[in-house]
Amino acid sequence: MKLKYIISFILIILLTETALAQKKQKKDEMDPQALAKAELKEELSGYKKLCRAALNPYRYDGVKTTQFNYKPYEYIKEVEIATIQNAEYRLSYNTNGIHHDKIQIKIYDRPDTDKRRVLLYEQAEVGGDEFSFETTEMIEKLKQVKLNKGIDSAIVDQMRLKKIFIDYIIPAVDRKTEVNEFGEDVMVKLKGAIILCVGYYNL
Amino acid sequence: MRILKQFTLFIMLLSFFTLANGCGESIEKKEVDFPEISQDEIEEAIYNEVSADYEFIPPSTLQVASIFKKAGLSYDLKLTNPTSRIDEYSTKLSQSLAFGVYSSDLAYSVIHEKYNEASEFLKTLRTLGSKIGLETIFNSSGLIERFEANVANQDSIIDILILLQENTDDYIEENGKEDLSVIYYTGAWIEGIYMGANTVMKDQEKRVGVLISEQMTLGEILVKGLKHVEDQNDDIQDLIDDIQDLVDTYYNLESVTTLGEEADYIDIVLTKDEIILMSGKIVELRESIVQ
Repeated sequence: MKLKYIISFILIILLTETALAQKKQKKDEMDPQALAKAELKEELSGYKKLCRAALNPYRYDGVKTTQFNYKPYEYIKEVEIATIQNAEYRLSYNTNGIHHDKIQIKIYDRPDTDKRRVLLYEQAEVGGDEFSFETTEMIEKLKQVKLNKGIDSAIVDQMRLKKIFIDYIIPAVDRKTEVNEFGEDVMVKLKGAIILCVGYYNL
Repeated sequence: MRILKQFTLFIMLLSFFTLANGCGESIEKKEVDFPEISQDEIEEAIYNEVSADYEFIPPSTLQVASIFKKAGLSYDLKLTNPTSRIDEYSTKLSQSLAFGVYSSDLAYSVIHEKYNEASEFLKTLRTLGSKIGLETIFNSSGLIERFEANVANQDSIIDILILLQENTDDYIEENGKEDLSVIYYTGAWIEGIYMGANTVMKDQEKRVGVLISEQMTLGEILVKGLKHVEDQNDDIQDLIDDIQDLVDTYYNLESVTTLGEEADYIDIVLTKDEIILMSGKIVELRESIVQ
């Protein structure tokens, strides 16, 4: 009878220990990249909610989260937005996903491959912040540039932006290394993310 | 005898747990045994991945439907794609395109306050969504139930539609399904311009001409998006060619060419003949994706 109790006791201990060991093992086995990805997803999801809320009173049209890696050289990531029916748009930004060097935003009427493009908006030192602005001033700027180029004012009056090209200029960073758990030097990958929500004026 | 049995059972269980833990260790050892990849190779792969992206934000189907309504387009159920066709879409591409087509039909019905029809389109979208991996967006927030509970209130219905779009956008971004979004948005775009094109013979042709001309900007964006889809099969290529043909036809119209490069900034009023030419191509394109 006593032996039965002893066996049961040992079994319970073993089962508990095994369950704990398996749980720990699962956690250890989880790919660190997958873990970092899951954490980033959660972080960005929170920022996205704030970004959408800042569109008010404009009606939600779309969202784009642009993720980037810092390099030892400067480069551009471009986002294209179609704007229709001369509607006024609000661009709402959440840049809290930028934890390292701040980036620059430049908005044009044409893509970065087109030398004729006109700069419509720019903002430097972007990162760790929330802000929004509308497209109205961009249209005025475009019209002014076209008038200065001698285009007939009757044509300029009819002009509107059908597309805008948003360039994120990612600054160059120095390569950094750190020592990993095996005592080896490994390159530190620096990443960032910028969230853009677009809304249109519905009335 | 009984004690011996219990002891044997104990030993067997002990062996099982020991073995189970042992196996876990061997898996762990295997997992760290990666082939060596240099940091430069990793960096290069990441850079290529990043620079190969094409990112864009198209207008929502709700916005397009609102604009068409403001332009005077009335509701005609015959213009929408019958929900009974759902089982005809057997490939991932046709299902994804149909998802876009029905999204447009849903927005069109809601904007015109045709809620019974809208409800059917929403259910069709849920069915198609489950086939293309978007079931989560319908299941997570009880969208269909909320839709049916609010049919008398257009503001609430529009809020639900916006929520559906937000859920879709989030799911696509968080799960790397950008290729799918390009394809279904192409379906939505084709359905939208099809509705516009079908009103050519009615009295709104001037406005429709402007709407068609404006939609060509989106056509250009979608061609770029489709060219970035990873699986460039023949069907995708045909779709790209058909849209490119439509866009090229538009840019070769006299009303467009006379404006030169300023055509990029002006809503162009097309002539009746030009509208008929464009409409014919649009109807053909739409038929090719729904049938």
